[in-house]
This record gives sequence, C-alpha cells and structure tokens, in this order.
Amino acid sequence: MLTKRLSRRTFLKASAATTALLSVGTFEFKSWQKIHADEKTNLTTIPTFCNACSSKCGLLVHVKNGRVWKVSGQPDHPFGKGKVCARGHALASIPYSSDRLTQPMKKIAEGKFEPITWEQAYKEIGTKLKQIIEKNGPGSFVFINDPRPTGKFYGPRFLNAVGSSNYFGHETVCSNARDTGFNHTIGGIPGGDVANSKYIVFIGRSYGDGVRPASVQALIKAKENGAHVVIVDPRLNNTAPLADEWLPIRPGTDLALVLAMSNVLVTEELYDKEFISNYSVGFEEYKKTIMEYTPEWAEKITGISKETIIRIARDMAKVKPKAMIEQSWRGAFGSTYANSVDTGRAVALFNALLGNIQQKGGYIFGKSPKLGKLDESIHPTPPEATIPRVDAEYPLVSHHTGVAAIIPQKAKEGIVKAALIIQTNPVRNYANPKYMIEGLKSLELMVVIDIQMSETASIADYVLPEPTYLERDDVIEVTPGVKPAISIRQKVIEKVHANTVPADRIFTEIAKEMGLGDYFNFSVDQLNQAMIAPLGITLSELKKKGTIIIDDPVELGVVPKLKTASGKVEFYNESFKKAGFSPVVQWMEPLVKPDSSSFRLITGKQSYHSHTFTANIPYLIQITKDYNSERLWINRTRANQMGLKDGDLVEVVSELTKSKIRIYVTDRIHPECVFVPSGYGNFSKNLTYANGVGFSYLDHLPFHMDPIGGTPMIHECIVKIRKVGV
Amino acid sequence: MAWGAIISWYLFLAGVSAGAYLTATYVGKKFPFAQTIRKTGYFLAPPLLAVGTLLLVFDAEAGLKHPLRFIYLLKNFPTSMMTDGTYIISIFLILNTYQGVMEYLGKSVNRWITRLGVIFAIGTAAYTGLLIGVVKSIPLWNTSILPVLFIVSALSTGIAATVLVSTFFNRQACYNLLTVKKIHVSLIGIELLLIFIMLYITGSANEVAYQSVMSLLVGEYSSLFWIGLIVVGLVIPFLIEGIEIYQHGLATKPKYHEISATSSNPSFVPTLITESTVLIGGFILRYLVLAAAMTITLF
Amino acid sequence: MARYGMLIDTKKCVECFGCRVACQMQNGLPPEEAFIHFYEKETGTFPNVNIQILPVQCQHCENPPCMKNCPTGATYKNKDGIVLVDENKCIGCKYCVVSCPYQARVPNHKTGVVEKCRFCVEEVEKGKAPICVATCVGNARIFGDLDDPNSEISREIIKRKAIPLRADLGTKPKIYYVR
Repeated sequence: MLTKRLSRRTFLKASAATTALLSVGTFEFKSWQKIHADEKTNLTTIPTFCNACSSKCGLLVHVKNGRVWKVSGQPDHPFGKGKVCARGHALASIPYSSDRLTQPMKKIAEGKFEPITWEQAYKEIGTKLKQIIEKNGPGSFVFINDPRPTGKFYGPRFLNAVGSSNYFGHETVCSNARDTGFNHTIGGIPGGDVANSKYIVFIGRSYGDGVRPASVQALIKAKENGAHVVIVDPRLNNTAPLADEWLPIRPGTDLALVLAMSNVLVTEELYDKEFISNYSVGFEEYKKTIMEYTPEWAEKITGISKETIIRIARDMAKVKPKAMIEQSWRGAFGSTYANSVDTGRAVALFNALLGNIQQKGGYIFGKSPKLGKLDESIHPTPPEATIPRVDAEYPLVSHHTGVAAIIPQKAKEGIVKAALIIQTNPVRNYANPKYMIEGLKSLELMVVIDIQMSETASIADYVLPEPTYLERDDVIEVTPGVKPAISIRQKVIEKVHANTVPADRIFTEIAKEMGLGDYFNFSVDQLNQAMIAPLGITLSELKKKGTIIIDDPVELGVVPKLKTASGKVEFYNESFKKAGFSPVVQWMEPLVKPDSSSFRLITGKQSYHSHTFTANIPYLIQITKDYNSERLWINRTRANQMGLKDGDLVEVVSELTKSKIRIYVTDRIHPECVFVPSGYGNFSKNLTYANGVGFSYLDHLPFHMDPIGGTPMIHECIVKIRKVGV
Repeated sequence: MAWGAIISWYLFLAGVSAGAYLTATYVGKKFPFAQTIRKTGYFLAPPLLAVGTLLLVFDAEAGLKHPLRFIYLLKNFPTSMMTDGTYIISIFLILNTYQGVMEYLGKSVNRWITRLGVIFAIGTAAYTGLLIGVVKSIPLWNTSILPVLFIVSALSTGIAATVLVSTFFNRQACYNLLTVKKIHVSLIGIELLLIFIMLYITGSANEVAYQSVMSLLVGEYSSLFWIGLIVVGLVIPFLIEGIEIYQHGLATKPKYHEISATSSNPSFVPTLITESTVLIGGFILRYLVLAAAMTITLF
Repeated sequence: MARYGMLIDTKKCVECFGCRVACQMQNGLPPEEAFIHFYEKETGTFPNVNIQILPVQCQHCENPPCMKNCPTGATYKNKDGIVLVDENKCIGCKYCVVSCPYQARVPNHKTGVVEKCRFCVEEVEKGKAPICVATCVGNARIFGDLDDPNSEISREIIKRKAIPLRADLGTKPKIYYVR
C-alpha cells in the first residue's frame, strides 16, 4: 500500500506546497504501522464512593498505571444504581488539579501565606485552641463540616473532647427550613417512594437539575406506571421532560398553594380519616385554620387558578396513599423564604392527610443499621458536651445541622473565637460574602482543611491540605433507606501530593497537642471495623465490594412511632408555641416583594454543578462556557418590555452590589423573578477555572435570618436589571 | 464555522490565480503587443496558487504536523471534492508554472499546453465553488449558482489583479485595452446579479438558509456585506470603470475593439481604485460565504 | 459482523451531561473537546411552555457525508458499521466538520486531527455498551445490533416508534430517537 502511494510521488512533486513539505521528514511512516497498538497497561478497578454531592453514590474507579482513568457506577448502590452523573465523572480528575493545596500554610498577612511543617501546624493550632478554650470556655469553638462521614464522626468527638457542642453543617443554606418544618411535624425527613407513586408534586425540587440517578430512574418508572407528575416552580426546570404539568407559581407563595390544596382535602373530606384519627394530634385546631385558605384565596396569591388547585388536590386524593408532595431538599422551601418552615410543615401535613406515611408510593422513613462502637476499655469516648450552643436562639433547628450562617455574627460579638472548617465554603456559600468575611475575620483562630484555596480558606489563619476523596480512607457511610446500605471510601490511588494529610489524622494530631490524644488512639480502619462488626461484615469484604446492602427492609403499611414530641403527626405543635411561633401552620407573606420595575432574584441547581464546589473542575465549567449557562434567566415578555434581547449584557443591581451578566431570554420563567444558577461567582483568585465565571445570588442577598428555620432566606432578594451601556 | 479566514484566503487566491491565467491567455491571444499584461498574468498565477495552497496546508493542522499525510489527499478520487480539487490544482500549478517559466525565458509554449492550462484554470475557479457547493448540510453553500458565482468572481478578480500589477509596471499597459475593461465591467454586473439571485433563492429554501441570508442582509454581517462587498467591492468599481468606458467611448468613437490612440496621460487613480476594490470585494465574498454558513437544524 | 446502532429516548433525558463527561474520560479528551452535544428547543409562550432536549453525537450514518468528503480516506467504516477516523491519515482539513449535518465532528486542538464519537469501539468489542449508554442516569440510551431483530434495540425502536434525525438527508443514521 505504501509503495503504491509512493509511486505517485513524481506527480506530487509538482505541487509546490506538498513538495516543500515532503522534505520535512519521514518519521511519520513508523506510526502508520502501529495503528491502535495496545499499550501494556496495568488496569485495576477499585470501589469507593463519590464526593461530588451529598448523595455519595457508589463508584468503581478504573485506574490505569496508577492514574485515574475513569469512573463507573456500583450497580448495588441505592442512590447511584450503577450510574454516574457528569459531576461524578469529572470530579475524578480533581486529584490532578493544578489548583490543589500541597502543603500546610499559615497566614502571615492579609491574603499572604507561608508554608509551614505539619508539626508546626499541629503545635500552634493545638496550643492556640487550648488557650482560647481556657480563656473563653469551650463554647467559643465551633466546627463546620461538609456532608461526609469522617467529619460526622471525628467532628463531634473532637467537640466533645474539648467540651463544645457547636457542631454545624451546611444546611443553613440547604434544608434547615424544611427540616425544621418536617422534624416537628412528622418527626424526620422521609424518602418519597416515587417509583411506586401515582401522583407526584414537586415544589421547587428538580430531579433533572439536582441529579441523583436513583431518583431520576424512580421518576421514569413512575411515569411508565402512569403516574401524573406536576412541577411547581417559578421556572420550568429540567425535570420538564419527565413531567406532565408545570405550575408557574409566583415565587414565595408555595405555602398558599399547599394550604389551599389541604383545604380541598379537608373541606371535601377527601383525607385519610383513619390515619388522621389514629396517628395525629391537633387536627381540629388545624382544620379551623385551614378553612380560611380556600382555592379562591390562593389563586390571588399564587397565580395558580383555583380550578387547577382543586383538580390536583382531588386527583391526588383519588390515588392516595400512592400520592405525595415530594419531600424536596433545598428546592423552594429548604432555606428559601420567610415562610419556608411553614411550607415544610404544610407539605408534611398534606402528605399526612393523604395517609401516605410508610405506605408504598408515599412517604417512607428509611432504616439505618445499628452500628458498632469502639471498645470503650481501649478507646475511651469523650463525655457528651452539655454547654449551650452558640445558635441557641434557634431552638427549633436540629443540632445535627445548626445555623452556621450566624457564626460570623457570633464572632463579631466575641462569642465565637475559634473555628475549624472542613471542606466547606461558608464565605462563598452560606450568606452574603462581605458579611461572612467581616465576621470570620474577627475570629482569633480560623483553621480550614480543604483541597483547594476556597474563598473561606483564603481568609483562614491556617490552611491544611487534605488528600482528595480518591487518595484517602474515610469513615464508612450509611445510606438509610427501605433497604439500607453501608459503603466505604478507600484509597484508590497513591497521594498525588505527598505532604497532604487526611482529616482523621489532623483531628488526631491536634487532639494530641491539646492533651486529648487518648480519645483518638485508633485508625480509621480500626474504627470502621468496629462499626461494621455487629452487621457480620468484615472490612476486607466491604473494601472489595464497596457497598453492601443490609437485607433488613422496612415493613411497609405499618406506621411507626414518629420522632415528634407526641410520637404522632403534629397538626398542633407545642414546640413552635413554646418558641413563640404559631403552633398551627398558617399563611405568612414572603419577606420582600418585587414591584413592576424590579425582580425577585431566585436560584437553583444545574445538573453539572454542586453549587460552587465543582466550578473549578475544568470538565464541568467548560459545559457552562460551551452553553453560556451562567446566564441570568429573564421572562421574555419582561425582557421585551425592557428592550432586552437574548445574550444582552445586563447589570443586576441590588442594595448591596452590582453584577454584570448576560441574559437568557425565555418563556420558562415567571415574569416577577429572574433566575441565576447557584454554581457560580467564585472570587478566590486561586480557583483558576471558576474565578470570574458568573455571579452568585448571595452577593445580592442582604444578611437576614429566618428566626424559625435558621436560614438566610436566599430568595428574599430584590434586584433591578438594566442594560449595560444605557 | 470550522472554516474561517484562512480558507477564505485560499478560495480567493486560487480564484485570482485562475483568473490571472485566463486574463493573460486572452490578452496574449487578442492583443499580442500587450506584453505587460500577458506577462503579469502568467507570473502572478503560480505564486498566488502556491500561496493559496500553502494556506490550505497551514489550516490542516494535523497534516502540518505530519506532512507525509498529504499524500493521502489524492486517495479519495473521485468521491471527495477535495481530492478532485487536489488533482485539478496540482495539474494547474504544473501547467501555469511551466507557462510562467517559459514566459520568463521568452520561449513559446505549445498552444495545446496553454489550452490545457485554460481548462484547468476554469477547473480551479469552479473547484473553489464546488468544494463548498457540494456540502449538503449547509444550505447557503448547497446551490448550483455558487460555483458559477465563484467562477465569475475568479475571472473578475483575476483581471483586477493582473491589471493592477501591470499598471504598476507600465501605466499605459491596460489603459488601452478597452475590451478587457468591458469584459470586466460586465463580470462585475453579472456578479452583482448572481449574488442577489443566489440570496433570493437560497433564502427561500428553508429556515436555516433564511437565517444565513438574513445574517448577511440585516444581521451580524450586514455592514460587511453591504459596505464591503456590495458598495466597495462591486458598485464602486462598476461605476468608475463604467464611466471610464463611457467617456472613452465618447472620445474615440467609433473604434471598438481597437487600441486607443489617445495620447493623453492615462489616469492612474481610477484604475488603482477599481482594481483594488474588486480584489477587496472578491475576498469579502469568500469570507462572507464561509462566515454566514449555518448547518441545517436537527429539530 | 453486526450493524450497531443506538436508541436515545429524549423523554428520559434531563440533559445531565453525564454522557458527555463520561465520554471525555473514556476517550481521554480535554475539557473543551466533547463528542456529545445537547440541543434545547423551547416551544410555546409563558405559561404554556415546553422544552425538548436533544443529545447529539456521531450518528454512524450508513451513508456518511464525512466519509464521502474525506479527501484522505481517514474516515472509514469498520466491519460492524461503526464510522471511525484513522488518526494517522487525517490531515485536519475539516472538510468533514463542515460536511456533517449533525455537527458531530470535533477537531482536537492539540493534534489537529478531527475526532468524533467512536461508539466506544474497544468496549463494544469486549461485548460492553458504549460509556454514554452505561452511565446514562435515566437509562435513556440503548445500544445494540440493528440487524438482529431480537435485540433489545430492534424491539424498542419499533415499540417506541423511534426515528433517526433528519432522515430526509439520505445519510441513513444509525441513532434512533424517541421524541
């Protein structure tokens, strides 16, 4: 073949261009022969679980010659079901990120750090923390965790060891309001059995944007079984292909819709009377209040016609208990409006009216296996800290989550003096960043454990680099559910940066410096072994399989004793009353309202970002760039009225700041609001890829807290839009 | 669009080369004394084509890195228009280089070789249009008028380049060639007509074609289209040359097809403007045809 | 010998981009090079709006214009009808890029070679599905032999009335869409 081609050389010589180039060299001929020759590769597959969002799906990591090549899903994992989303795939590139933190650092001046040794870091942090606690009491120390198991175990243990009860999660900007509403009403957050449901209403929650593979599959299964799916959202989100109906509700009025739907169930006596009489308290008080909230009333508030409200309520009642308002996460009432806690309560109660608790196709409280503990005689457990928390003014908020957004305020007031923050980014993501920075800067000691220089790490006194999730062992993860599961995160590749240390070691070493080393005299392996021992699983078995399903399924159809004060559904709630709030759910206006010249700024997820955590991953931010998806959504009619065209550069103006952004003109959004995806606005200059892409809703959000749910009420924000250059 | 300015230059230069060769051949046959024009045309054709082809090579990045792969360019005959074009251009390059060298040496060329050269020059001009004309997925390109338009433009820009360069050598070189000017002005007129026919027909083909046409007429490329192509590239040279011919006609009536005997100093400026604007327009035409291309929709 | 094809049920696709990134990992592509593209079409006016999502990649046409126009013969079909690019023959002229009605061709900025979806041929040869199929969170994709009337894909194409994109172009694509 080659000779045949060469025989044409005489012909080619004449072509000046080709002739000139022919003389360059003959090295090419070799590579023609080794087309697709298989390289000798050492390919291994190791199970672990993902770190791209809170779902923590089971992964199989394919490692080629010691380097991560790709990931695939563990078929058994209850959330992943053998599938991996864009974030899961892309995050596997993070060990090799050029923006990784590679050595411990100490702040020497504003924005300036110097590298230090781990010994120095442990010693200085331990000493300072000890001094602060001795001087101000253990309550002056707080710990903020990312949603992962090592922090969940070591954090509280460390807090107890030093005597503080200030454990915080990220839920203040996630699900605190919903959790508060649900916890006090039905005693926890059940999982919706979507796959077997006949009628599913989503309020702000979008399976197509906040992707969990099992949830998407469950919804598809439901659709195939003929379920009716309704999206209640000011924005037609990406669950649209899986939905039958979109109710473009006026933002902040979901509570009115749910109250009116409940009104229909109650007035038309369509609710599950047997369930209500057996498993609830205070229904009569509730009934009295709910009578006011007629569909006619709600139509004016929500913009959803009364006919629609009545129809949906009736249709749901027809198929009860296989009907639900899905429990959601952040969605429209996780941390969103002033009335979000009550939306949470109303949603929980609406589901109770359908009698769907612990029913197939309804709300199911999952099981968690009973885990073992370390042997007390060898590994002493620190006593439980009993001092009041710094967020005690939010008595209804769970101590398992806390109100992290008020820590800066408490720091400014001199109540909080020291903070340990692990792989979470309060400065960028918990409330208005200016406020967060100002407050956190008044701390005497701020230690951040992370893998990259987040906005929060940028203002810390000490930055401690961890190996990424693929380079370390973590404490086992329990996935509660109808069939609970145990998964393990294990080291898949050798550390890329030798001088990084996993958090469990960091806790241990700091504790040692503080003279509390006895509480941490074990390794993660020992801990994991002890935890899974009662389940009859060995650590090596778990490490081989990655995920093990505990075959002890929830018994459906049997309503358990709920974890509320009364053990039943609380239509009337004493705790709320005691805290100074209405014991019965009632309508509450959102905090702010746009006028004809302004908009409410709303936000939500995109399937390929976990808020700003993933924005610095080149594979994910490139999607944003390719599709210009950092843009601000604006209703077409409003845009036309303002003379704005798709792609125009506008200025988003609020009391606090101005942001420049291009607009996406669409009919998919309610005219009274504009929408910005939640994944952008990183301003740390050490986040090379994320820096400068888009803006964050939090930049415009005044610092205000919901007194009931302990959230910054992230949609209570008014902005004006004007064309740049006009 | 995957093809940008570099490919526009390639299409443009290949066209000018073919046009220059044809101009030289025509003038050489009709006006044996007009040596400057003939020589200029034959001298211009090979380097312009070579530079154009080099640009194509430059745009083909993988080939640039592995030059021997260009051998494969000849493989897909006659299926791929680019392979066909490679043959056409290669042969034309051989022929016009030979012609140019012989012209330089002052030797005569076998007329059959020149005739073959004419065929391959027309082939090269047509090829630049056919290359993109056969692309079904892009409605703006996929028309029968486009190759014709490109041939007309190749001739027009070929004349322009030859005349312009000749004028630098000899101010009187072409002032005397009324026929050439008449042909040129007609070509410009035809080009103008073809552009509007093409856009009119293409614009009604489908939604994407309409969008492409609109991007030229009123959208993103409208200023380049109207000012650059239509006014500067076509209308201005059409008017200047037209007026020149008209005035000349008044002065020398009724001696058509003959050498002007005017002894007055030929004006340099109008020629300079006319021929430069034609060349600018020729490039803009290629550029716009590539830039305004849109692929058919999938919905 | 098989005639491999794919079914994409757009009614199960939420545009999560999982397939795009999985494909990039599988093929070792840089972030800015993707073989799978998404198109979104909005219809109607507020509040009666709907969206259509369309994931598009190389359609592995039986009559591929890219292969016809490729001057070097770098584009070819393997025995199973999978359209491939011989990276050692491609000069990067991008004629295939402009020729593909599905805009499925992507130049690699490092090598200049034009690449595209390869139906993960090395996985398929091992009897596995392409990675985009394996990772799809909604199970919106089915891969298989179109010549085998009993294959899942053949049955589902009929059952779900799946049709190729722009069949009018005569390219005979082998990806079937449920719209």
